[in-house]
Amino acid sequence: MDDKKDDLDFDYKYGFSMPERTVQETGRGLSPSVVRQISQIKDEPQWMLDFRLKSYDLFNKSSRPKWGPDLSALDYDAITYYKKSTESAVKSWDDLPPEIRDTYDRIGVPEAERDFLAGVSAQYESEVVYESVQKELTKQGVVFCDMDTAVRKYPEIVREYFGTLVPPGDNFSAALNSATWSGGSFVYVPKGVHVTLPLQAYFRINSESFGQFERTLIIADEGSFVHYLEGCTAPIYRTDSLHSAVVEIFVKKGARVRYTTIQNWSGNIYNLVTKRAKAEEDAVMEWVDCNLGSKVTMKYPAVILAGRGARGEMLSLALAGKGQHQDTGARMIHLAPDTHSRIVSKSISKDGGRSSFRGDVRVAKGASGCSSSSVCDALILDPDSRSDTYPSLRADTPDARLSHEATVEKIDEEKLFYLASRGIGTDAAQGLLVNGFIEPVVRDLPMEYALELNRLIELEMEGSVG
Amino acid sequence: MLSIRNLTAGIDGKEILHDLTLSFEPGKTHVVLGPNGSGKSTLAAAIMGRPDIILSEASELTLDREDLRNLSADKRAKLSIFLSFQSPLPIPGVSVEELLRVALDGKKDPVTLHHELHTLAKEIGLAEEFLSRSIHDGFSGGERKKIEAIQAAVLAPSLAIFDEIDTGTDTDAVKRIAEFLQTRLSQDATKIYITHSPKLIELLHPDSVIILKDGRIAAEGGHDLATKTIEEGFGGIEVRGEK
Repeated sequence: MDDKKDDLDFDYKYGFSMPERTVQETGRGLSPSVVRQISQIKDEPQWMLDFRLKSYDLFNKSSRPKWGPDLSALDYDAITYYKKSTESAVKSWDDLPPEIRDTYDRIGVPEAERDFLAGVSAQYESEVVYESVQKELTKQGVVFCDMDTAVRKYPEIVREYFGTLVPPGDNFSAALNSATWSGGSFVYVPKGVHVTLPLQAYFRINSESFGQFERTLIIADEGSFVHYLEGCTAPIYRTDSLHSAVVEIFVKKGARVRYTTIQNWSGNIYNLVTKRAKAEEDAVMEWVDCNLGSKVTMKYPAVILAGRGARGEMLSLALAGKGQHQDTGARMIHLAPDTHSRIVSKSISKDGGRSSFRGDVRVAKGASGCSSSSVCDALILDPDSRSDTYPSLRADTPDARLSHEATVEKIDEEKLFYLASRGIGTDAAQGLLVNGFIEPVVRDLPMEYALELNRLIELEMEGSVG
Repeated sequence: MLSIRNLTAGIDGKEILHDLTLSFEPGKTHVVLGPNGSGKSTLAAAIMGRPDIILSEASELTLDREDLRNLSADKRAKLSIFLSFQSPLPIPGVSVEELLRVALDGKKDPVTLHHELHTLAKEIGLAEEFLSRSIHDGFSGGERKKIEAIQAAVLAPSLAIFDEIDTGTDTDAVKRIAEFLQTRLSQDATKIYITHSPKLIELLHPDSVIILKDGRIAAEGGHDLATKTIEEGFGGIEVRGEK
């Protein structure tokens, strides 16, 4: 028990455990007083409160997009915008929807982990791994903490960058997040430092890393490298139906950032995320974005290629099953000369699911020597499912080389027969074909995530169309 | 023993095989010859259980007295039937090693399988990279057929059907594949080769030869029938039961 106490002390020292709070939650709905309450609970400086209130106004004035998925069922007044994170989302394992319990059982998530992920427990005990990682990071001068802590401990740097890449007025979801944000991660990597292990929000032991209005800010200083990972393959259950997040990443000269997301929200959730990175001279920004869960996802990660020689990459994977609409995409904004971007998108639609991919590539005037290639492949497993691609390529520079390819395929009967002749039944064969289809994205995931994802796909294919 | 009686089969309402009665004995090498469009590949696929091939009510298809008719292709494969495809399609993102790992479903541990595949590739003369690349994706004819033969060796079927294992390969590859299969397949296995290649027939020394023409059995015999047919062509062979 002594060890346990030490771990807790350790966590407190680095600001990851939740401080004592008297207020449990803000109640349903959003108002200036709720916004003030959130800021007060977090003991924020005035500038952050002002930022939130201004964002609240912008949210009220904002209009919903006239394109994309149907958001009409989303009731902003029914949502609790702040809940004390040490409180469980559901009371017990039995309160979870049966299909979520079933998935946990079948992918074999350890009990402690699944309690946490499913919201049954607000704490995930992983102190031992976490502590050694954190020690190593501290030695290198890397800051990795939750956003609430960063506002208190590193106000100058946060204030300089926060909300500058994704301003609150950018879109309705960004405005909502800016007014109500809580949790998320802050990462600062000093000049020339290469962080060898991926930083995982997973290591952080409070549930705000899986919060519903999280805010993430990453600053990779010149010549540094970091790989940030969020999410996990196991479904994450929340009773409130909205997840609205903002991620801002600053990739300085010669630095490289890879940001990997595996999203598997439960089927009741509207997942609206604004992700944007700015890549300076010779910097590299890579988004790897896997969307498996949620009811509706709207997410179009962007790279602003602002310095000469910068590169942007987007590898995306979407699985749209029954009742799901995965509306995802990528934006590559070439502002500087000799910048290059690549988009690879793979989508799978099944059981009436719908996946849409929106590509937006722009080359600004004067940005000569730029190139961009997009490849969007869709796999549709049954006639009820749907896939759409909306590419937009615009170059204001004559020498820009832009390409876009899109393919749509179905599961080939001949391939199923071939696999059957090796003794592989229809479900397993479909799983194999789908895993093969997504392999170009999955191979860029860390090994354990790749394996989990493949396993999850196999499970998804069981009992799918024959 | 694979026993076929009164087998009539078609695709999309078009009858391709007409009332075939044949038996294939264990431990023997059988060769099926015939002009293009004579129904050889349909026969192979019907034995394996391709879903779009419809058999008539009267057709009988049994392996060691077990009725195959109501078994799906994967169930037949589990009864140890194997079909090597004439033109296998590429499967992006899936290597032969992954495919076999799923096919074996834990019956062989992955490390043993990995080593076995490397040994087999070396033996048949296939570069190791083809074991980890997407199966049949950008492979030459010879590479495809070698991968098919390697799968036969790993799955160790008791009934193995090779649909033109020689086409698209050079003479040297045909020889290597034939020798490989003769060494690697069980002595007790029933082997059926569909082929046009005199070279392959010469290498195989078949115990029995069946000639198909227009979906009917035109002739049955031993090795000498194959030799005669190759020398004289299919023109001289009358389809039994016609005219």
